[in-house]
Amino acid sequence: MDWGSLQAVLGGVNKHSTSIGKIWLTVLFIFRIMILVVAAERVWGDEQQDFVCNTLQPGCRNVCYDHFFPISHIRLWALQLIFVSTPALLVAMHVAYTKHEKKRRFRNGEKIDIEELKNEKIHIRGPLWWTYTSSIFFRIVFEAVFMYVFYYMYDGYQMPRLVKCDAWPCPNTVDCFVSRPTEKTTFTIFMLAVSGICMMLNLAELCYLVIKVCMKGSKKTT
Amino acid sequence: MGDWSFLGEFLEEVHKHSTVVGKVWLTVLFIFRMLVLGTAAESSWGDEQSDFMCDTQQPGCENVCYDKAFPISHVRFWVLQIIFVSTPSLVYMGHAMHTVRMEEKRKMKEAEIEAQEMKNGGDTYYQQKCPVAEKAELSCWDESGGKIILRGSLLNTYVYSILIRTAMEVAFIVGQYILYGIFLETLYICQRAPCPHPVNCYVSRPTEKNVFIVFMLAVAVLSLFLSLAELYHLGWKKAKERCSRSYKPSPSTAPGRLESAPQVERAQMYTPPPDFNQCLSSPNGKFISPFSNKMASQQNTANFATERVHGQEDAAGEGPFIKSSYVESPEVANECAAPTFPENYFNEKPRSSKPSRASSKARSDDLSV
Repeated sequence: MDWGSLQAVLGGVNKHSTSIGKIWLTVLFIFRIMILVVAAERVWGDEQQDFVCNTLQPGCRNVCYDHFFPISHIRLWALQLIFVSTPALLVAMHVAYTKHEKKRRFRNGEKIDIEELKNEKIHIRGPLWWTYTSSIFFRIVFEAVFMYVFYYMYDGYQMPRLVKCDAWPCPNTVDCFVSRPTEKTTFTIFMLAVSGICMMLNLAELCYLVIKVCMKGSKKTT
Repeated sequence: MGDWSFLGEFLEEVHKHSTVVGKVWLTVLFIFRMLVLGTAAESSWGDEQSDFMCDTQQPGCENVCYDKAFPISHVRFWVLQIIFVSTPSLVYMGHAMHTVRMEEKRKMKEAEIEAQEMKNGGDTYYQQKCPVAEKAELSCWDESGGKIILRGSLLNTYVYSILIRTAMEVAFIVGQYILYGIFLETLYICQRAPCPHPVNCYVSRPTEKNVFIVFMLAVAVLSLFLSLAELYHLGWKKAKERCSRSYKPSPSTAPGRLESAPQVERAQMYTPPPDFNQCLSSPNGKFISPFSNKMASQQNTANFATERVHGQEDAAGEGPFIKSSYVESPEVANECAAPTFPENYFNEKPRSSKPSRASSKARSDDLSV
């Protein structure tokens, strides 16, 4: 999976984020994407090959694996990371649009320093504030949804060692053994913990933005 | 092979803002741990489960016995170790970047204030300069080199990051010992449902794995020593500072020009060396060391100031460089600078336009004034 392209896109967003946003991005890349690529993919690599069932019935193992793992953890995490990163693209698009508008005004004769425009740090105010805040809100929602999906699909966050399967064409209830259950549980809990941390960071950022606006508002009135 | 580039890029940034020992530590991390793990260890452990053979035909027995023998594979354990051991450096990095950003904001504000003062007339300039310069003196930002100086809260963050790093190393080394002992045995005897009885299981490539285990353990111990050496280095220098401070209580009794050389020398000894030599050495070869010692820094800037005032002959290459550091020092500001300085200070380009990224790019560029 090519996560480098995601890094290229999100790197641009980093410039216009708050400090908490930058921390979130770092945590995302190092503790989630990197762990996924470097470690977790190896752990789940042989999940179907080494899914062993106590039967000689052809097809039973396939069907049982499919029944217990409708979508692999790895793919779910990849989807989660993509969905969680996507709202930041909204912010990037808004910033690009703002800059485009300024350039257009410059071309129409308004005096704007083009160098300053390129290097300008865009402050999070006005409509950008709303875009940014809603992107954080969506991030939080997506994180929560995926954490719930994991819980619902796999009945908790622990990987069982033994699963009992009686899907057709298995002739009777068959014992099937999952490959590396302890290691998988370790990584599932690790990824869950980091998701939780990311959610906390997003909540903190949201609070920070709201408080900042309220304080500005009260300063103006006083 | 896993892709370490995400972490690698962050650590490159940390590399630029570390002390000498810190850089050695990072190099050890990159080469002896990440590279070895990615290239050699992973292929050695590649078939760890497929070639884990148990002396049974009971389906599922091999799976459960492998799971019992290796709750977490060595490779994944080392990956987690590297990540957790690198994390404190990232926290320090974040603080350093924050410092850079605050400095840029401060400089922008200063520039605005000065621009306003210039509009209002030069009379009020000197009065304004002094309080601003006082604030600047406490900063961790070296105006001249555009580099971060380890002092104050930044130095504390650095020290804490090394302490946490050390603790993590110890925790993982102990954890590895608890999980696996030191060496891997060829034979593992397993009794776990659904295995019908105690079963002999054979680990794949035990000798090769043992070689890598010992190697990674040795590198972890080496990293631990480097971290402890760095702590000692920083702690010793701080203690020395305190001793010398007790002999020389007042920075305002800064000696004149004649004593400048020993002062610089002492400052060199004091500093935890962020390796900024390349940036801070002027074209004339005078070494201006980064300061963690506030007093030494004050004395040094005072000394350079006096040198500057007395001798403009060798000003050619280092002029603006010296001037900027001069202007930032409080004692000189209190004396209220010689008339030439304000002009030159305004001539110097403010670095506010450079993003915080500037601190992470090639440092030699900053000095080309």
